[in-house]
Amino acid sequence: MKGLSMNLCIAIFVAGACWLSGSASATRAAASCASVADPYSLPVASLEACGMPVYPRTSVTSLPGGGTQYNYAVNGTAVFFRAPPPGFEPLTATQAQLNEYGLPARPTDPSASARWSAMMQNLHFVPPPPYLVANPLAHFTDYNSHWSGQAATSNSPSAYSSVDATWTEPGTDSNSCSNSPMLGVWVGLGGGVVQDQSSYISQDGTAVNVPGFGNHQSWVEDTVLGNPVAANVYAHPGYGFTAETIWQAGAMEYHWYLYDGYSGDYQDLYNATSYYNGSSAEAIVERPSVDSPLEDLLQFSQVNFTPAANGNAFTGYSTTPIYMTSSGYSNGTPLANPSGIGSNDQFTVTWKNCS
Amino acid sequence: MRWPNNCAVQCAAAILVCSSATVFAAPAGAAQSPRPMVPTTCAARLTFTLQPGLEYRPAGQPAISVRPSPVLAGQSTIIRLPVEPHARRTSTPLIRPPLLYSPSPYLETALAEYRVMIGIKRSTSWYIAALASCGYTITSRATSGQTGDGVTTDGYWFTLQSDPHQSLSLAFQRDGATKTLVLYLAEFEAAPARPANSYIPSDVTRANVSYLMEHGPGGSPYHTYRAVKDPRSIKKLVVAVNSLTQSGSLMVFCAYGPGHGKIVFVTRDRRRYVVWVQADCGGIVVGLAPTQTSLPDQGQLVWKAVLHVVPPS
Repeated sequence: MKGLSMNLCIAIFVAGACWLSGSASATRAAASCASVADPYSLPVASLEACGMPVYPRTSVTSLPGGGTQYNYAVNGTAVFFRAPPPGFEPLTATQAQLNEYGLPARPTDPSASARWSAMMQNLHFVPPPPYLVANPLAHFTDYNSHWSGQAATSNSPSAYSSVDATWTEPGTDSNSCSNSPMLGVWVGLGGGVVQDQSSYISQDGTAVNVPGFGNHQSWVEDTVLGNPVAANVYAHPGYGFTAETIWQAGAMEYHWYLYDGYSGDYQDLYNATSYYNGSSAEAIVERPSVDSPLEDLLQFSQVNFTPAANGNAFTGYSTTPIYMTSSGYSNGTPLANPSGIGSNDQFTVTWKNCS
Repeated sequence: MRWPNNCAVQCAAAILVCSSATVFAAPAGAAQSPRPMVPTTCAARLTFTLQPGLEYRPAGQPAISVRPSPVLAGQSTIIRLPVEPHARRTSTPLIRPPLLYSPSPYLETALAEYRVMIGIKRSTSWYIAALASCGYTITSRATSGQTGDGVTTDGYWFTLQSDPHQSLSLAFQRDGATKTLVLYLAEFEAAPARPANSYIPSDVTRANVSYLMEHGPGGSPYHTYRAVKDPRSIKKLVVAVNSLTQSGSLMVFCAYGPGHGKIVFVTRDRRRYVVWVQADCGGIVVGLAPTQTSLPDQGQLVWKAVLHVVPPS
């Protein structure tokens, strides 16, 4: 049985937004149920009528430091919330206490420390509900001019500390796009949620037909590096490639892992930074841009992802499918569409048009 | 030929050496396990002439090729770097070296391989200390290898504190128990200054602003258009655009947000200047292809000015 800590979601319950994504095989709810904004505002009977499974709390246990752990079982997965004792003060807590309640470590870097303190000052814990509600529907759907894929999102800036995916590197033999067509496939943290009108993204993946990169060459990128940095691991079309982005709070650095399943080549890269946004974890097919405007999306058949965040499959989270269209709006020409996340924890991005 | 900051500062006493414009081998060292002194003062004895672009074929891997921008034609940059006193130039290639580089069209590079007559741990420590004494700090580090192969190669990416455009990727590979292969990839981002004709003139009378904000009020995408005629607002936009002075390429893989937009500045005599605000990609683009100019704007100054002048409602 896998353990899934959900303590960082407690803050999200204040906004009524901490839903658990149910399995793909869950019953599709009626259309009227799709408009339910806060499932915890409805009686259990109504939730079940809407096809939203309910998972009662199984037990409450005391923690060594005086806190409380609330336990649930969701489709065989242990889910728990941890709440500190009354009077808990994160700014003066020990590292062990921070760990116990799933809070990020106190950074040593002064600028990062200031951000950490600001975040901790606004921290509020609320009691978890007596039951959890699974949302078998997609959280919402989004459109974008250069991304297609799935993003797990949260209101908590430290909800996700790692994301990884293995995908089948797409072949491009049948490409018919002519306007400098390019393709990027990657995973990342923080790209799907904007803070202060800035995007603190960290990502790693592969590139096809992108100037400066070899075909299927891997790369990493974050806010400090600015432009992507090339790595010397190459994916092979038709074979699995794995990329992982990990935020290491103690060291205040990103760790990227790249692995080509065909050759066995791998690379670990580390980059110190104080920019971290763990509000989202995403697995994406991108139409890259070398300056403006956007280039064509290189033609491919499909990219099959098996993504995970914090070591758990995307099916355990509320995810957003992102559709790539020419305009970035729903009425634009479809360029690439993601499937839903299946019971095998996979999803597929299918190419539709060049531009 | 140009001298980056560190050469002007650190090589002032060695101008004649710096101007030799070639990579030259350091003196041959003793063969019997020398004990190098840990450097505490900068001794940059190795001279590199960096040329536009990057061409390199690592052993057993596809060739690396970064084509330079035509604006760098005929340009070169000389830098000086430390070399371990007992290192010898070699042609023995490193296997799968974790070279770190930004594939920018404004990249100038030089490569050299050395065999250092001490083990990898001491060799790595020596270089980190030597580069620190010359003002370099470690930006990133990496390890590469192949499953089941047993050969791993370590890499470090250093950036010169006084000039972030200058960096060095060093790869270290064990060469037996007592020797180390070291690969230098010296890099200089020679982004040209912003062209004079890309600045927005002061006689703008109107600015047509449109933008898409991915997370607008309420969290939904927000799109708007407005013709701005207020002189103070126009000035704010012009100042923001003109505050960016360095050309460069924008991010290849862009973020989901915060958004993107367009400003069309119209002058008194009806000349038009188009500015693409690529906040998703960390910069702006002034003008239209093929004469457009890309200007990195990591601080999102222009995007923030746009939102200030035409706030989402």
